[in-house]
Amino acid sequence: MRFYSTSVSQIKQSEASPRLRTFEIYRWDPEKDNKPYLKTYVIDLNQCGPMVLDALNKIKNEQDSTLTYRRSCREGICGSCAMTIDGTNTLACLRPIDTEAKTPVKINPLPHMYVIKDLVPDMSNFYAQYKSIEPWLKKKSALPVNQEQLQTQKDRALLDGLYECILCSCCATSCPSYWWNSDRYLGPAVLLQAYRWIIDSRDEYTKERLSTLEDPFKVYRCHTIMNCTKACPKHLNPGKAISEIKRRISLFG
Amino acid sequence: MNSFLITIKQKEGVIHWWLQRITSVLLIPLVLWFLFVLFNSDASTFYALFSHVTTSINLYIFVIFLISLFVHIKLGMDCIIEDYVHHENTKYVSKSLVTLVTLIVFKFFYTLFVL
Repeated sequence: MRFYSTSVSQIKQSEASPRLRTFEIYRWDPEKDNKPYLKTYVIDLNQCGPMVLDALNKIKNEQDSTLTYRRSCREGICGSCAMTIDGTNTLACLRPIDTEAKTPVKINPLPHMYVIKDLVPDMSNFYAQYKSIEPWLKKKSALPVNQEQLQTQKDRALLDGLYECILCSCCATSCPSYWWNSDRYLGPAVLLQAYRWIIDSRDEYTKERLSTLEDPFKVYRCHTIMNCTKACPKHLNPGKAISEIKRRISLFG
Repeated sequence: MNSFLITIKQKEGVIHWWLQRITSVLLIPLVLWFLFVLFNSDASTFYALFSHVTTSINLYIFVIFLISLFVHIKLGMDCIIEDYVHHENTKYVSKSLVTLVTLIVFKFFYTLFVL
């Protein structure tokens, strides 16, 4: 199948010698394998799209259909294909295959998560933590009738950099504190969302939201390691959001 | 009293956070001051240094220095234990031991230098 226009240079490139790239991918089938292992695949980059997800799809289509991974939008907005590529947590659909390097591309599932199969982690704890911060608008006063809940442009600007989170958990699974304490520490992704609801001017439960975060584990396991901001594939800043939460948690009342 | 204790327990995280920062900020000048005192003395033996420190320094500042230092140490050790020890009983015992040891060492230095 031809995805590119059939210009002379493209035809010449497809006839050119294959640019081979090796991928070492973490494999584990709980029903078959005792232990996980790294399986090597070689693909021709001339016949493959630019992103790591394209390589994974090509491997699944042509070489090994048992390769299991989550993917959906292929454009970096759904957050399904989050995995560790060459040591960094990113979305496979947004990470270009490094054509210059000679060593194999290493693909692993997100670190310190229970693996369901191959590259698929168990996200249930993550989702439960997200649910626990009550990520919806809570009002004490009556809702305005026949009108939207108004918000100034300045207040709306406070949500920029927070609402764009796609809950891929690249940040949370890159945080050592979350590795060691994922049962009680909420992690940067959930805390970013907690902050999103705390500074939403339309939400009236700010004080209660902040007081649920007072215990030593939910927020205070953060030691500003800042792996989260480095890992975020959408270029958000969870570390800053957590520091803003810490600023707002009051010692009194 | 009960509601006060409950509030303290609820706000444990915030209190720790603020105390760590207050002691850190206090310790910057205090440690520099103490090192300055130590290195400025003409003492050649430990006893001479000891008598120089106990006689020439402002003891109130020294007590504040000792208190901030040991509170800071205790909070730092507590943080490490909380991060890495997950077994509840082991964590409680370790934290209590750290508190006990810092109190003992504080008492030692207090009786040595101040009294």
